Amino acid sequence: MTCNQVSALLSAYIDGELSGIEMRFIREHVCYCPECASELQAERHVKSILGGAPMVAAPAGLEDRLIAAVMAEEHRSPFAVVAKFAVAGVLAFVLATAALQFNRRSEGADPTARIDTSRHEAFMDASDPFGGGQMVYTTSYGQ
Amino acid sequence: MITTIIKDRADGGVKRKELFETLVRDSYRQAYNFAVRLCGAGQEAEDLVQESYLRAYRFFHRYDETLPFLNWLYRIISNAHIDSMRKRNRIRVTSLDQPALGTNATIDVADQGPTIDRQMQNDSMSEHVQHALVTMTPEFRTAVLLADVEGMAYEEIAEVMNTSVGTVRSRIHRGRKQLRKSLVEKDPTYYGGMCDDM
Repeated sequence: MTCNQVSALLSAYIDGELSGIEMRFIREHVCYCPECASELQAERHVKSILGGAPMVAAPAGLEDRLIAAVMAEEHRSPFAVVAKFAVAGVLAFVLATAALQFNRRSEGADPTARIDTSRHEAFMDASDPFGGGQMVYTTSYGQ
Repeated sequence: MITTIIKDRADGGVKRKELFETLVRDSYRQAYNFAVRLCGAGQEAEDLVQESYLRAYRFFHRYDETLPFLNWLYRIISNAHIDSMRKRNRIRVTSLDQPALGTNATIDVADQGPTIDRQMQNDSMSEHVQHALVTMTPEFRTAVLLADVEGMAYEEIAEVMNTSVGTVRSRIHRGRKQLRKSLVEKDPTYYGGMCDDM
Protein backbone atom coordinates (compact mmCIF):
# COMPACT_ATOMS: atom_id res chain seq x y z
CA MET A 1 0.00 0.00 0.00
CA THR A 2 1.32 3.46 -0.91
CA CYS A 3 1.33 6.38 1.47
CA ASN A 4 -1.35 8.13 -0.60
CA GLN A 5 -3.61 5.09 -0.35
CA VAL A 6 -2.97 4.82 3.39
CA SER A 7 -3.57 8.53 3.91
CA ALA A 8 -7.01 8.28 2.28
CA LEU A 9 -7.94 5.48 4.68
CA LEU A 10 -6.63 6.92 7.96
CA SER A 11 -9.90 8.60 8.93
CA ALA A 12 -11.86 5.40 8.39
CA TYR A 13 -9.14 3.50 10.28
CA ILE A 14 -9.44 5.55 13.44
CA ASP A 15 -13.25 5.36 13.15
CA GLY A 16 -13.12 1.56 12.94
CA GLU A 17 -14.82 1.60 9.57
CA LEU A 18 -12.39 -0.59 7.63
CA SER A 19 -12.41 -4.32 7.02
CA GLY A 20 -10.11 -6.52 9.08
CA ILE A 21 -7.60 -6.87 6.25
CA GLU A 22 -7.50 -3.12 5.57
CA MET A 23 -7.00 -2.43 9.29
CA ARG A 24 -4.06 -4.83 9.33
CA PHE A 25 -2.46 -3.23 6.27
CA ILE A 26 -2.71 0.24 7.82
CA ARG A 27 -1.33 -0.97 11.15
CA GLU A 28 1.65 -2.59 9.46
CA HIS A 29 2.29 0.42 7.21
CA VAL A 30 2.36 3.01 10.01
CA CYS A 31 4.80 0.82 11.92
CA TYR A 32 7.52 1.53 9.37
CA CYS A 33 6.32 4.87 7.88
CA PRO A 34 6.90 7.81 10.25
CA GLU A 35 5.06 10.29 8.01
CA CYS A 36 1.90 8.21 7.95
CA ALA A 37 2.29 7.48 11.67
CA SER A 38 2.46 11.23 12.30
CA GLU A 39 -0.60 11.87 10.14
CA LEU A 40 -2.47 9.15 11.99
CA GLN A 41 -1.64 10.87 15.28
CA ALA A 42 -2.87 14.20 13.88
CA GLU A 43 -6.18 12.60 12.78
CA ARG A 44 -6.65 11.14 16.25
CA HIS A 45 -5.93 14.52 17.79
CA VAL A 46 -8.65 16.25 15.71
CA LYS A 47 -11.13 13.51 16.54
CA SER A 48 -10.37 13.77 20.24
CA ILE A 49 -10.74 17.58 20.24
CA LEU A 50 -14.21 17.39 18.70
CA GLY A 51 -15.31 14.29 20.57
CA GLY A 52 -14.12 15.58 23.93
CA ALA A 53 -15.93 18.91 23.76
CA PRO A 54 -18.80 19.09 26.27
CA MET A 55 -22.29 19.65 24.96
CA VAL A 56 -23.34 23.27 24.61
CA ALA A 57 -26.04 24.02 27.16
CA ALA A 58 -29.32 24.96 25.56
CA PRO A 59 -30.55 28.45 26.49
CA ALA A 60 -33.19 28.69 29.20
CA GLY A 61 -36.73 28.29 27.93
CA LEU A 62 -35.72 26.86 24.55
CA GLU A 63 -37.76 23.72 25.08
CA ASP A 64 -40.99 25.67 25.70
CA ARG A 65 -40.29 28.09 22.83
CA LEU A 66 -39.88 25.18 20.43
CA ILE A 67 -43.12 23.53 21.56
CA ALA A 68 -44.98 26.84 21.31
CA ALA A 69 -43.62 27.43 17.80
CA VAL A 70 -44.69 23.98 16.66
CA MET A 71 -48.19 24.35 18.15
CA ALA A 72 -48.57 27.77 16.50
CA GLU A 73 -47.53 26.20 13.21
CA GLU A 74 -50.21 23.56 13.61
CA HIS A 75 -52.94 26.17 13.83
CA ARG A 76 -51.50 28.15 10.92
CA SER A 77 -51.07 25.19 8.63
CA PRO A 78 -53.45 25.46 5.64
CA PHE A 79 -53.86 21.71 5.70
CA ALA A 80 -54.95 21.84 9.33
CA VAL A 81 -57.42 24.65 8.59
CA VAL A 82 -58.91 22.82 5.62
CA ALA A 83 -59.05 19.58 7.58
CA LYS A 84 -60.88 21.28 10.44
CA PHE A 85 -63.43 22.85 8.09
CA ALA A 86 -63.91 19.51 6.36
CA VAL A 87 -64.48 17.72 9.66
CA ALA A 88 -66.91 20.45 10.78
CA GLY A 89 -68.72 20.26 7.44
CA VAL A 90 -69.13 16.51 7.57
CA LEU A 91 -70.31 16.62 11.17
CA ALA A 92 -72.83 19.31 10.30
CA PHE A 93 -74.10 17.23 7.38
CA VAL A 94 -74.44 14.13 9.54
CA LEU A 95 -76.30 16.05 12.25
CA ALA A 96 -78.59 17.76 9.75
CA THR A 97 -79.43 14.44 8.09
CA ALA A 98 -80.14 12.85 11.44
CA ALA A 99 -82.34 15.79 12.45
CA LEU A 100 -84.29 15.60 9.19
CA GLN A 101 -84.91 11.89 9.63
CA PHE A 102 -86.03 12.47 13.19
CA ASN A 103 -88.46 15.20 12.13
CA ARG A 104 -90.09 13.04 9.47
CA ARG A 105 -90.66 10.18 11.88
CA SER A 106 -91.94 12.36 14.71
CA GLU A 107 -94.69 13.81 12.46
CA GLY A 108 -96.25 10.31 12.31
CA ALA A 109 -96.21 9.73 8.59
CA ASP A 110 -98.15 6.55 8.05
CA PRO A 111 -96.05 4.17 6.07
CA THR A 112 -99.16 2.43 4.79
CA ALA A 113 -100.67 5.60 3.41
CA ARG A 114 -100.95 5.28 -0.33
CA ILE A 115 -103.19 5.98 -3.20
CA ASP A 116 -104.83 2.78 -4.25
CA THR A 117 -106.82 3.46 -7.38
CA SER A 118 -107.76 -0.18 -7.83
CA ARG A 119 -109.99 0.03 -4.80
CA HIS A 120 -111.58 3.29 -5.85
CA GLU A 121 -110.49 4.77 -2.62
CA ALA A 122 -107.76 7.14 -1.78
CA PHE A 123 -106.13 7.32 1.55
CA MET A 124 -104.54 10.62 2.02
CA ASP A 125 -101.29 10.90 3.83
CA ALA A 126 -101.70 11.95 7.43
CA SER A 127 -99.45 14.89 6.77
CA ASP A 128 -102.03 16.44 4.44
CA PRO A 129 -102.24 20.04 5.63
CA PHE A 130 -105.98 20.36 4.97
CA GLY A 131 -106.93 17.09 6.56
CA GLY A 132 -104.74 16.83 9.61
CA GLY A 133 -105.24 13.08 9.82
CA GLN A 134 -106.03 10.07 7.74
CA MET A 135 -108.83 10.66 5.31
CA VAL A 136 -110.64 8.33 3.03
CA TYR A 137 -112.23 9.34 -0.24
CA THR A 138 -114.47 7.09 -2.26
CA THR A 139 -113.92 7.68 -5.93
CA SER A 140 -115.93 6.68 -8.90
CA TYR A 141 -113.19 6.46 -11.47
CA GLY A 142 -111.98 3.19 -12.81
CA GLN A 143 -115.32 1.48 -12.97
CA MET B 1 -69.60 5.17 10.68
CA ILE B 2 -68.31 8.41 9.23
CA THR B 3 -68.31 9.95 12.70
CA THR B 4 -66.30 6.94 13.92
CA ILE B 5 -63.76 7.43 11.16
CA ILE B 6 -63.52 11.14 11.89
CA LYS B 7 -63.18 10.48 15.60
CA ASP B 8 -60.45 7.87 14.95
CA ARG B 9 -58.59 10.27 12.69
CA ALA B 10 -58.90 13.07 15.25
CA ASP B 11 -57.68 10.75 18.01
CA GLY B 12 -54.78 9.69 15.79
CA GLY B 13 -53.92 13.33 15.15
CA VAL B 14 -53.89 14.10 18.87
CA LYS B 15 -51.68 11.07 19.56
CA ARG B 16 -49.23 12.10 16.81
CA LYS B 17 -49.12 15.62 18.25
CA GLU B 18 -48.40 14.29 21.72
CA LEU B 19 -45.77 11.96 20.31
CA PHE B 20 -44.07 14.83 18.47
CA GLU B 21 -44.07 16.98 21.59
CA THR B 22 -42.41 14.15 23.52
CA LEU B 23 -39.80 13.74 20.80
CA VAL B 24 -39.02 17.47 20.89
CA ARG B 25 -38.52 17.42 24.63
CA ASP B 26 -36.26 14.36 24.39
CA SER B 27 -34.11 15.62 21.54
CA TYR B 28 -33.84 19.41 21.71
CA ARG B 29 -30.56 19.46 23.67
CA GLN B 30 -28.69 17.34 21.11
CA ALA B 31 -30.36 19.21 18.27
CA TYR B 32 -29.24 22.55 19.70
CA ASN B 33 -25.69 21.29 20.29
CA PHE B 34 -25.49 20.09 16.68
CA ALA B 35 -26.86 23.37 15.38
CA VAL B 36 -24.30 25.36 17.39
CA ARG B 37 -21.46 23.31 15.91
CA LEU B 38 -22.85 23.97 12.43
CA CYS B 39 -23.54 27.68 12.84
CA GLY B 40 -21.16 28.73 15.56
CA ALA B 41 -23.66 31.26 16.96
CA GLY B 42 -26.33 31.29 19.68
CA GLN B 43 -29.37 32.95 18.06
CA GLU B 44 -28.59 31.52 14.64
CA ALA B 45 -28.41 28.05 16.13
CA GLU B 46 -31.74 28.56 17.91
CA ASP B 47 -33.34 29.77 14.67
CA LEU B 48 -31.95 26.75 12.84
CA VAL B 49 -33.28 24.37 15.48
CA GLN B 50 -36.72 25.98 15.44
CA GLU B 51 -36.93 25.92 11.65
CA SER B 52 -35.86 22.27 11.66
CA TYR B 53 -38.50 21.22 14.18
CA LEU B 54 -41.15 23.09 12.18
CA ARG B 55 -40.10 21.22 9.04
CA ALA B 56 -40.09 17.97 10.99
CA TYR B 57 -43.63 18.65 12.22
CA ARG B 58 -44.92 19.52 8.75
CA PHE B 59 -43.58 16.22 7.41
CA PHE B 60 -44.10 14.14 10.53
CA HIS B 61 -46.51 11.93 8.60
CA ARG B 62 -43.49 10.73 6.61
CA TYR B 63 -41.43 9.80 9.66
CA ASP B 64 -40.93 6.07 10.14
CA GLU B 65 -41.24 5.46 13.87
CA THR B 66 -39.08 2.35 13.69
CA LEU B 67 -36.04 4.53 12.87
CA PRO B 68 -34.24 6.82 15.36
CA PHE B 69 -35.90 10.23 15.45
CA LEU B 70 -32.60 12.03 16.03
CA ASN B 71 -31.08 10.67 12.82
CA TRP B 72 -34.08 11.92 10.86
CA LEU B 73 -33.90 15.27 12.66
CA TYR B 74 -30.17 15.64 11.99
CA ARG B 75 -30.89 15.22 8.28
CA ILE B 76 -33.46 18.00 8.49
CA ILE B 77 -31.08 20.25 10.44
CA SER B 78 -28.26 19.63 7.93
CA ASN B 79 -30.50 20.40 4.97
CA ALA B 80 -31.97 23.48 6.62
CA HIS B 81 -28.47 24.73 7.38
CA ILE B 82 -27.29 24.21 3.80
CA ASP B 83 -30.44 25.96 2.52
CA SER B 84 -29.72 28.98 4.70
CA MET B 85 -26.08 29.05 3.55
CA ARG B 86 -27.23 29.04 -0.07
CA LYS B 87 -29.72 31.85 0.55
CA ARG B 88 -27.03 33.87 2.26
CA ASN B 89 -24.72 33.42 -0.74
CA ARG B 90 -27.45 34.72 -3.05
CA ILE B 91 -27.82 38.00 -1.12
CA ARG B 92 -26.30 40.92 -3.05
CA VAL B 93 -23.27 42.41 -1.41
CA THR B 94 -22.98 46.20 -1.26
CA SER B 95 -19.61 47.82 -0.80
CA LEU B 96 -19.30 49.42 2.62
CA ASP B 97 -16.65 51.84 1.43
CA GLN B 98 -18.70 53.48 -1.27
CA PRO B 99 -21.22 56.18 -0.32
CA ALA B 100 -24.79 54.96 -0.08
CA LEU B 101 -26.79 55.54 -3.24
CA GLY B 102 -28.02 59.14 -3.50
CA THR B 103 -26.08 60.36 -0.46
CA ASN B 104 -22.59 61.17 0.66
CA ALA B 105 -22.94 59.07 3.80
CA THR B 106 -21.25 55.72 4.19
CA ILE B 107 -23.04 52.73 5.56
CA ASP B 108 -22.65 51.97 9.26
CA VAL B 109 -22.47 48.31 10.15
CA ALA B 110 -22.71 46.81 13.62
CA ASP B 111 -19.64 45.15 15.08
CA GLN B 112 -19.42 41.63 13.68
CA GLY B 113 -17.30 40.36 16.51
CA PRO B 114 -18.56 37.58 18.76
CA THR B 115 -21.44 38.55 21.00
CA ILE B 116 -21.35 37.74 24.69
CA ASP B 117 -23.54 34.65 24.35
CA ARG B 118 -21.40 33.42 21.48
CA GLN B 119 -18.30 33.83 23.62
CA MET B 120 -19.88 31.85 26.44
CA GLN B 121 -20.58 29.00 24.05
CA ASN B 122 -17.12 29.17 22.57
CA ASP B 123 -15.65 28.61 26.03
CA SER B 124 -16.85 25.03 25.88
CA MET B 125 -14.93 24.44 22.66
CA SER B 126 -11.92 26.54 21.84
CA GLU B 127 -12.74 29.55 19.74
CA HIS B 128 -10.16 28.43 17.19
CA VAL B 129 -11.82 25.07 16.74
CA GLN B 130 -15.32 26.57 16.50
CA HIS B 131 -14.14 29.15 13.97
CA ALA B 132 -12.33 26.47 11.99
CA LEU B 133 -15.53 24.41 11.92
CA VAL B 134 -17.56 27.33 10.60
CA THR B 135 -15.10 27.94 7.76
CA MET B 136 -15.28 24.33 6.52
CA THR B 137 -17.18 23.18 3.46
CA PRO B 138 -20.72 22.58 4.82
CA GLU B 139 -20.97 18.95 3.70
CA PHE B 140 -17.55 18.14 5.17
CA ARG B 141 -18.42 19.90 8.42
CA THR B 142 -21.68 17.97 8.77
CA ALA B 143 -19.98 14.63 8.15
CA VAL B 144 -17.16 15.34 10.63
CA LEU B 145 -19.58 16.56 13.33
CA LEU B 146 -21.83 13.54 12.96
CA ALA B 147 -18.82 11.23 13.25
CA ASP B 148 -16.81 12.96 15.98
CA VAL B 149 -19.38 14.82 18.06
CA GLU B 150 -22.43 12.60 17.62
CA GLY B 151 -20.43 9.36 17.37
CA MET B 152 -22.39 8.01 14.43
CA ALA B 153 -21.25 5.12 12.25
CA TYR B 154 -20.57 5.84 8.57
CA GLU B 155 -23.67 3.98 7.53
CA GLU B 156 -25.84 6.13 9.80
CA ILE B 157 -24.14 9.28 8.51
CA ALA B 158 -24.77 8.13 4.94
CA GLU B 159 -28.46 7.76 5.77
CA VAL B 160 -28.62 11.18 7.43
CA MET B 161 -26.84 12.86 4.54
CA ASN B 162 -28.64 10.81 1.92
CA THR B 163 -25.44 9.66 0.28
CA SER B 164 -23.16 6.61 0.07
CA VAL B 165 -20.73 5.31 2.69
CA GLY B 166 -17.88 5.95 0.26
CA THR B 167 -18.85 9.61 -0.03
CA VAL B 168 -19.11 9.88 3.76
CA ARG B 169 -15.64 8.41 4.12
CA SER B 170 -14.27 10.92 1.61
CA ARG B 171 -16.05 13.88 3.25
CA ILE B 172 -14.78 12.98 6.70
CA HIS B 173 -11.24 12.51 5.45
CA ARG B 174 -11.23 15.82 3.56
CA GLY B 175 -13.12 17.59 6.35
CA ARG B 176 -10.62 16.63 9.02
CA LYS B 177 -7.83 17.71 6.71
CA GLN B 178 -9.50 21.12 6.23
CA LEU B 179 -9.95 21.42 9.97
CA ARG B 180 -6.37 20.55 10.73
CA LYS B 181 -5.06 23.03 8.16
CA SER B 182 -7.27 25.79 9.53
CA LEU B 183 -6.19 25.11 13.12
CA VAL B 184 -2.50 25.12 12.26
CA GLU B 185 -2.93 28.46 10.47
CA LYS B 186 -4.64 29.94 13.54
CA ASP B 187 -2.23 28.64 16.15
CA PRO B 188 0.85 26.95 14.69
CA THR B 189 2.44 26.57 18.13
CA TYR B 190 -0.40 24.60 19.62
CA TYR B 191 -1.66 22.77 16.55
CA GLY B 192 1.60 22.62 14.58
CA GLY B 193 2.07 18.90 15.12
CA MET B 194 -1.25 18.16 13.49
CA CYS B 195 -0.22 18.98 9.99
CA ASP B 196 3.13 17.52 9.16
CA ASP B 197 2.35 17.58 5.46
CA MET B 198 2.06 21.41 5.30
